[in-house]
Amino acid sequence: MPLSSHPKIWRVLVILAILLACGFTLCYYFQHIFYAFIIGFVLILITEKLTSDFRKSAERYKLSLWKRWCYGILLLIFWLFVIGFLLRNSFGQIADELQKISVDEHTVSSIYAREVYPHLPTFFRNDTISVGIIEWVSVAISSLAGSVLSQTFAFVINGLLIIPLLFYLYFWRRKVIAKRLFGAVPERFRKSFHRAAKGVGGKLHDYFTARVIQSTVIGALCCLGFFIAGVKGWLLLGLLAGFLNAVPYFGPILGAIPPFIITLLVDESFAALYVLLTVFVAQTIDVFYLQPFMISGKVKIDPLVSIILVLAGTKLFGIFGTIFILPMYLVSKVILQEAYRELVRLYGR
Amino acid sequence: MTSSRTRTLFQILIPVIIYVLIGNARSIQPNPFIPGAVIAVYMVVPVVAGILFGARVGLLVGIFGTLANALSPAGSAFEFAAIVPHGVMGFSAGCLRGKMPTPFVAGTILVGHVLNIVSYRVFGLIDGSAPLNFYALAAEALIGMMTVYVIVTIYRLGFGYTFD
Repeated sequence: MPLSSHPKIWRVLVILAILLACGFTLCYYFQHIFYAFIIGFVLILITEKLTSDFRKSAERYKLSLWKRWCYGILLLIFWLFVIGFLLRNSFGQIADELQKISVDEHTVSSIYAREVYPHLPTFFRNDTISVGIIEWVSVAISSLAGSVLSQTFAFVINGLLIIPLLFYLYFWRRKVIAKRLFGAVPERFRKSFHRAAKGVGGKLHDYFTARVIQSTVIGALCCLGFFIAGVKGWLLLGLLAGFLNAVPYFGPILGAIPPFIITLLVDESFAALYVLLTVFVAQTIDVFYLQPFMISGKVKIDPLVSIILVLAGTKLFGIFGTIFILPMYLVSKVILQEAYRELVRLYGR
Repeated sequence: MTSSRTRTLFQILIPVIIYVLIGNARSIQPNPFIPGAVIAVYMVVPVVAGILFGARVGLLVGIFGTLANALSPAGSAFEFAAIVPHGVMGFSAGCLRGKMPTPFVAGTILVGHVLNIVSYRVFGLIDGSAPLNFYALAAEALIGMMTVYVIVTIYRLGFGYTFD
């Protein structure tokens, strides 16, 4: 169908596109708060899925109300206990290893100088990757780790304030808020507003569900691989790799760096090799199975558009753009399509 | 028909590979109560396979997984003795799936542990007169049950799997 040639329609659409871009820039400006919102949204998705599964199981086994409550509370305690225990264990293992490293004065540069440097060809040894460069890289990584830790603290504070509020609004006040919102929209736009809201909600739901599935599978594979490799703190590092996989294209590399460095630092070159192999296998499964068969069905974006958008987003907004440019594109697309349809109805072609 | 067979083959083959990989994992600790044996983390694999894919798959994963692990570098006489117990464990998990909640089905791992002990005694791998540490056995089974439940929940979350 040919596009409209009505100038008013395009003027409104351009203004709407500028407003959407401003909205994204605003999110970028308040990115710490925005991250907390997104994590909250993902946690709501997972909670909703788990509660609906639990409700189905309870109906299947015909549990009475008080049994449902008892069973639910027991499960909650169980999960908190398991997660707490495993994470505590994992943190403890990593802390022990790092302490050992600091006592033994094992550093990336010293291990490199001892284990790798003598075996390299002369050209690489002197000009390409000298000990000085490795030292510079290890200093850069440690300073990056320091800044990430300090940012994590700010993020945790934001999360503690925002996520419970999001849960309250979603599970108890969702219907009231939606009713008020729709009530404020003029009668003649209500239908298209409803369609746009449903479309945006659906697209975001599908996108984040696909991302959660992808991260869960990759995290589980990495946990398994790191366990087999004998990496200390395998659970935490595997979960981190799964979490970082949410960053398109660069995530897998970011996820491989901490376990690789830790295993290299504790002088387990063999385990370091296993770490790389694990990440490689996980990425192969991701690229050849998860993305074509599971993710593409949920998120319909042309691969070329996706790559261009991610590159542009990274250039404009850094890591924030890399992660959120695709959902932003999906949302903008739905809103602009709905607005176009409504404007054509109002002004004609 | 062929696609169903291929799927079943993958459902058996992948857990068997995972079984052998975990059996040879460098993170596995030696069992402090049974000298020469290890903490059997891999026992969760036949149970998970039984719960997710049915009794037949659970049985085959239990038998072939344990056999392959016994023949691998980490294999020992304990592994050969555990072939039938692990097969029975996977089979019983598959039979009980959908009939009771997953945490209870995961309890079949305890059946596996008890059958293991019986089998070790029958084959003379542990001293028949030596007292058993039931607390250690219960702790190992409990950790296994928790692991099974966690894995099944993650699988259901990721793949939208249901028993129906």
